[in-house]
Amino acid sequence: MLKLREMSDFFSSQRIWLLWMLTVRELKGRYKSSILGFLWAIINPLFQMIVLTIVFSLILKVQIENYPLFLFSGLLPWTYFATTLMIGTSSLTSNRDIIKKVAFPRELIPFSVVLANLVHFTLALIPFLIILIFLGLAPQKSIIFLPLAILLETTLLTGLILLTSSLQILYRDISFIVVAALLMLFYLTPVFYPLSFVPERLQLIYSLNPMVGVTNFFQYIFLGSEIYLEGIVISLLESIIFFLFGFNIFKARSLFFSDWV
Amino acid sequence: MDAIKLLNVSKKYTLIQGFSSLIKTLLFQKRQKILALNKITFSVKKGETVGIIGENGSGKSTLLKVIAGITKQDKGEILVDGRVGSLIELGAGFHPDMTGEENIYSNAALLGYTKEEIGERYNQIVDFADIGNYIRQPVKTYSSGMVVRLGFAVAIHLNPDVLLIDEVFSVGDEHFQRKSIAKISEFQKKDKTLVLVSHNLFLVKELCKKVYLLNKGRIVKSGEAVDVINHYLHHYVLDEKATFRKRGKSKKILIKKIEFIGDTKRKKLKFKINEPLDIIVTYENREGNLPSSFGISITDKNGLNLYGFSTDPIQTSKGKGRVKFYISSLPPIEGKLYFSFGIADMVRTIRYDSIENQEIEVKGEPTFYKGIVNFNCRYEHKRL
Repeated sequence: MLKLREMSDFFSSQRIWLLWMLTVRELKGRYKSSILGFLWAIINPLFQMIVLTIVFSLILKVQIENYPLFLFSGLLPWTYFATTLMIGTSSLTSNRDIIKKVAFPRELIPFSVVLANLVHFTLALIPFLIILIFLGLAPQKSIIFLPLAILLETTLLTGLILLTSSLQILYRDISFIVVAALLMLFYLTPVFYPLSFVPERLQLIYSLNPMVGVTNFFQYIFLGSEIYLEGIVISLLESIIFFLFGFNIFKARSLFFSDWV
Repeated sequence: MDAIKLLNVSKKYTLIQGFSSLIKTLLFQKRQKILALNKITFSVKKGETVGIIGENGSGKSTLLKVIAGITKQDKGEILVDGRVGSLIELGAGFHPDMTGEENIYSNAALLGYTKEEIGERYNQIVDFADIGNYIRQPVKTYSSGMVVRLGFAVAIHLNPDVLLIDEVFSVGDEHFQRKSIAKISEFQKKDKTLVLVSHNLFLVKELCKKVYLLNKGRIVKSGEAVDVINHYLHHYVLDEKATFRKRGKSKKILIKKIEFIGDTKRKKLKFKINEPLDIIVTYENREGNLPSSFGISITDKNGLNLYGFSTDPIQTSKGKGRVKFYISSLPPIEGKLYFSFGIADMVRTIRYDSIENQEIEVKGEPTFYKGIVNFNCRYEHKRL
């Protein structure tokens, strides 16, 4: 279990500063020689939205109200999830230089990946919210839950990449498994179809995918879609389990990262 | 007061061949293990400087890494009192896309310092690194020397209580090397603890009182710097320097005997600085008329080539003969000198025979002078 002392170390000002420095490193590294920079955080989901709208509204003729906005409200958290998981899984190997040469709390590396992507996600949310306000769809009362939804997804991600990154350092296969799993998970997450399309008797099993609850939560917040509380509770429980499990595995293994990386 | 204390510290490394894959490890559980550190016990007192020497792969760097906390030992205990700083690979944590200034802050953050602590020292660091306006440029635009200077400046100005140094003086230009060694001496005077790993035995002798010799993960000798270094040179370095003979393909002429003769006109192997030295090489020509060139080369204990000389072609004929080399006075180098001899054809492309690393010892009167080359300085004094 987490030790109290370790928890208090977490919040020392030195660590918070180091976490921020690592986050800046991560952001600078990603956008070297990139012209559009931060704009990529919104360009990606935007193009995905356009393609999916063409496919599902024009070709398959699915009848969903405000389909592009519905797509976008699910694609933003999904992009945050997929990008962070991919980058986070290989974050230890991509920071080999500093792990091999300097002693510092290793968990700050995956944390900084999450934080850097959280910055992106937040920046991408702003134009989306402006569009919603412009269309008269926001702010709804549910918007007050936005920080909670972000916290939920961030906790889930942190737990997951603590686990995947500490395994990936020895088994590079994990990176490929994560990419394959993300591809499958995308179809099992209510991003391009609403949760109500899933047969009721399957909904509980379906919700074992933690991104189901998260995505539903965001759709509820942005568009006032029907909330599926069971799904959100499952996501919350899974997030906590992943975090505790991931953190402890990571901590135990982190002593030897410099040998393995 | 001990600043560093190690008790029975052992560390194993698992050798992984190529990329490790999940399936490979599941199928083939057997992995080769090597013991990088084997029951190391030692302590360093506060304010002391110790050196660690040994061949490549003897565990020196692993030892520093466990003390620095970069990796963890499998067994044993390590206690370190105070803040540890390490000069292990300078500028390793620098990000090429960040400016020098940003990198100073992020490097210091990685080493465990707060923004305020580094802010106080920022100007000193920039001054010492001496990179001018480049401080606001991305590190990728720096020369390798500038990266090293900045890395050293950050590490040394953070003023740790214990400083671990791994072979960092082999980088940078000479001016910077001198400057950094001066900084290290200053650090020693402040009663700080230092652990130095180096192949530069002169530097180790200069900076350290106590030295540990590592071999295959064990401490095989410890004590006064001079003793341990001599032991090391004798048992490890000089082993490779054993006298050996390389015969050429065509064995037309062979070296039969080599004699060293000093001022007493007698054969001997121990000489004094400034003493004249004659060397007699006896050869046997088994072929007939052959113009041949006789060569001699002299190296010091580190393999540094000090001198080389070869004769004009000498007309030799079947039977024995001798060539005598005259060295008017031995240079001011104390210790062992290694002489190699060779006989080749007149254009020196075909080697007939050679003998490498014949050892002689030179004792000196260091009060006269120091150095490698004798400039034969004389002086006079006059009252005005």
